[in-house]
Amino acid sequence: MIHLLQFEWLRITRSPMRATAIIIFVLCGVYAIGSGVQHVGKWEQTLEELQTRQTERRTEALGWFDAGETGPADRTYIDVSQPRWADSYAAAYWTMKPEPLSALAIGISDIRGSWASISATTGARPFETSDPGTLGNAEKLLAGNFDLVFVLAYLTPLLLLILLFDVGGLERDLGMMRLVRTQVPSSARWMIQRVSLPILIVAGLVLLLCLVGGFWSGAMGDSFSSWLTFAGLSLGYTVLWGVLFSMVLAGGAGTSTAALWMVGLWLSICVLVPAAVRQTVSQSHPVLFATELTTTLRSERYEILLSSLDEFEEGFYKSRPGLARPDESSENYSASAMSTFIKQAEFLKLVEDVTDSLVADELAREAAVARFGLVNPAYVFQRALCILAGTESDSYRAHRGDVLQAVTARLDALIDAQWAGRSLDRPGFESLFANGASKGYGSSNARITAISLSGLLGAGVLLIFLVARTQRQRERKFG
Amino acid sequence: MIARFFRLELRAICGDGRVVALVSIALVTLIISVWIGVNNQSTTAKGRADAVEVAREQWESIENLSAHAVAHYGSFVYKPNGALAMLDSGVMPFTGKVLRVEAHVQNPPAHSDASTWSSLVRLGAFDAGIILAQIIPLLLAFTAFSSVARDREAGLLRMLIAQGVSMRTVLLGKALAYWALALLFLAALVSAQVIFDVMAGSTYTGDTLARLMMFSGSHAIHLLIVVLGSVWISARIADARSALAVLTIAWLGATVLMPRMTAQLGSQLFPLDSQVQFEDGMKEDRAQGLDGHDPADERRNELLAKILADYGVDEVSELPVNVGGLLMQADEDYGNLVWDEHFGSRHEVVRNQIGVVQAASFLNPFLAVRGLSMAFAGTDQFHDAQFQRQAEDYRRELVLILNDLDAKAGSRGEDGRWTREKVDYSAIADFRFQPQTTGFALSHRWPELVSLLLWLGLSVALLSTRANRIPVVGAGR
Repeated sequence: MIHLLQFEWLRITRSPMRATAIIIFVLCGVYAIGSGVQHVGKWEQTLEELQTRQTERRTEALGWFDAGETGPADRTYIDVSQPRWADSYAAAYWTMKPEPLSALAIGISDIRGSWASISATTGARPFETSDPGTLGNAEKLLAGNFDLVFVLAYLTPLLLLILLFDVGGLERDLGMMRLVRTQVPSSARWMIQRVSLPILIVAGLVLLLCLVGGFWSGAMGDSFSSWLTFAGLSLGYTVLWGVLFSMVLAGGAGTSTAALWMVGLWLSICVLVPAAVRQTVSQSHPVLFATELTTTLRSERYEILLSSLDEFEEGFYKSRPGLARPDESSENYSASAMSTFIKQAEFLKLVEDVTDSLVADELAREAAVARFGLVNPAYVFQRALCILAGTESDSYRAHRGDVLQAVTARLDALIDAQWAGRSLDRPGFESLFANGASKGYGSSNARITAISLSGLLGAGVLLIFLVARTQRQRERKFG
Repeated sequence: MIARFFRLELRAICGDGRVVALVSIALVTLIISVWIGVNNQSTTAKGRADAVEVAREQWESIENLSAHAVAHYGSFVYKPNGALAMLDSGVMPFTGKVLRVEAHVQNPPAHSDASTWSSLVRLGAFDAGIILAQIIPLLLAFTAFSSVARDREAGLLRMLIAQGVSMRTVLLGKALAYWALALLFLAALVSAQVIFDVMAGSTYTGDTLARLMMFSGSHAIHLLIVVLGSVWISARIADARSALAVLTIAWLGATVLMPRMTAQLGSQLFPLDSQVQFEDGMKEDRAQGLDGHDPADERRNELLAKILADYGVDEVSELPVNVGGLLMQADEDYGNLVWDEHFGSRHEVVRNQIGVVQAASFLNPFLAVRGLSMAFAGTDQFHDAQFQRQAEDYRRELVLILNDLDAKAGSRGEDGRWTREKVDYSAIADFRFQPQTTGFALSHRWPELVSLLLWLGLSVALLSTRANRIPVVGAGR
């Protein structure tokens, strides 16, 4: 056993190509972590800029309260104590805070917007974060991100391939296999002993990168249990590939056949299967032109704005039993302001409905993708890590739901104030700030981990079975 | 003699069951993928046509809105898929495809495909561009890595040289055989695309055919560079296993690592402002100009005074036009200057970022072919920017027409009140996208084309002039 391990160690360390591959892998990992940390830095910078924007707007309005003024001197029609204007000046953003693990698993955080303005009068627009690709360099998005998950999902199997591809195969090419078989008690054990060191080396490197990433991003301190799951999944994925390649090698092929098989597996699992799944699901669940949403945001909104208030009043008061129709003779009652809010509430209902419908489409699409989970382990692995880091689509759906809830809460608060016919004082104005918040959406949900691990395991077992069966057939046929 | 070696190597490739199986599986998979892709393209085209129809119906049913209110109501324009977008989807999945055109604001396109997908969108696409530029080279590397080393290890190479065959002839013959294999994939992909497309009812214009030829040509050149490089490495490196490792690392570096690193470098050398900074900058500049909606705005009132002076009247109620329309257009004109400045400088930064990748393509032919592939398919950043440009031109024209109607479509009564005429908004034309020509693609992607040709020249020169330095016997002999 020790001799074989020593032999493997020498085989790896004395091969300039393998040593180079290991160095490149580590450098890529470190670069990926740095790149992820930089991405999160930019994300945090954007949130800080929003905070500054929000503070400036609020401070300006609070200054008017302190000075006993109603708004800017050159715009006398603005009165921030009125709910309609308070909505505009009590700036609030609902932002998605990066989790410490986000630096290691960027996910789709560079594709989706991570913040939304909370306002009841400019319309609820949970989808109106423009696509970063459109405003930036989409060719950069196309090139793909370079985070640790990419290195683990893509490059770990390739490193294993480079370290393992001639184990056993070289002996066959040189006609030494019979000699080996006569010298070892069990050729299976001989093979296991030979592949175990390269797999252990790669697992060690993966763990090292997880540790470096954990310390660098702060995940080790701030969310240790999530980091632990992250590292555990990464090691499981490495072992899965190790087992898979070992089965190819155990099949009894020469170096070049084994190399072809291994690269074919890598290509299939990391490139072709995810792309084929995406293409197949695109056909069954196409992403079209959001007509439902655009119709709500424009045509239906205008219909509401131009319709008579009578159409909505009844439903409005029915859904809010705490509110009674105000006495129009009340001096504080503003019919036009109340009308605005009643119509905004009606519009918000439509937005909620269309959001539900779009979310249902997204979930159906993801369920269709999940059906291929057993043959798509690279994606299952990537998705599990991104869920932990709060950068997967689930997090963005939760964020969008929170944005809608915050808009609803803001609208309700303004309606209460308007219905009561009171002007907002400073504390009342400040209470609107609570509609904004910053929240991380990472999940260390045990269920997700269990599903991901069992998915990976299932995929591994299935693939190993298929590969081993094919190889056994070959062995029987060719000896 | 080269032809003879070409035939011999081709026969060897065809006689290798593993390669034949791999190629057959790959070809069937690719053709199925093209078929699914063509269906997806048809679904998308139909979806777009439906969306355009719905938006147009909504536009034509506008009633009881003033022309300026209609400008606020706005319209939607939808990004069309180019005739060859299916061959290489390029940046299209990442950029918005629905754009709202309305008064006072230049909206960026929204609702990209990527915005509704999970992180699966990160794991590649199954289109001809990716397959030809990324996957086929790997398959070629894994079939060609032992092409020369195998003969050397078997002692065949020594015999050939002893019989007077030049090393250059051997290498070129082998390289051409692998290139023929690569061309088989290219021809299958492109002809499947054309056949399925024509069956689906598409027609090809002269420009589309030119693009198709340029697309195929650039991939053919890239694949030739790949096989020349693979055969060279197989010949230059002592044993087949090391050649395989070198080719794998080279492939990884060229197609996976370098594109990402170059894109990162570009964004570090030419950083873009964040979206917040971008929006705040525009808002600040916009606030310096005229606000057509604010009656207390100083510039608005200066312009009002000028209009009154131009018409030689003292009161708005004496003007033969609705002053609101004129003020709104002045507001719009100022806004357009601001959008041009900010969007223009943003596009300039993006152009510089792409320039970094174009410069890096002289180090990596994959970057060159990727840029050319997208450009000829009409799906690169430059083509996408053209959609935004044309949509913005349409917005400006639409708002100008509506403001003009707001100013002039009506009459002033004796009481000085302006009465609007009923306007038929359905007479205003919908957005029509003008596709770019092949010349447009070439004018933006010439560095990649030069790079690819230089790489081709370099590869041929390497095999032609340095072939004699290749070891004829292996290290073990």
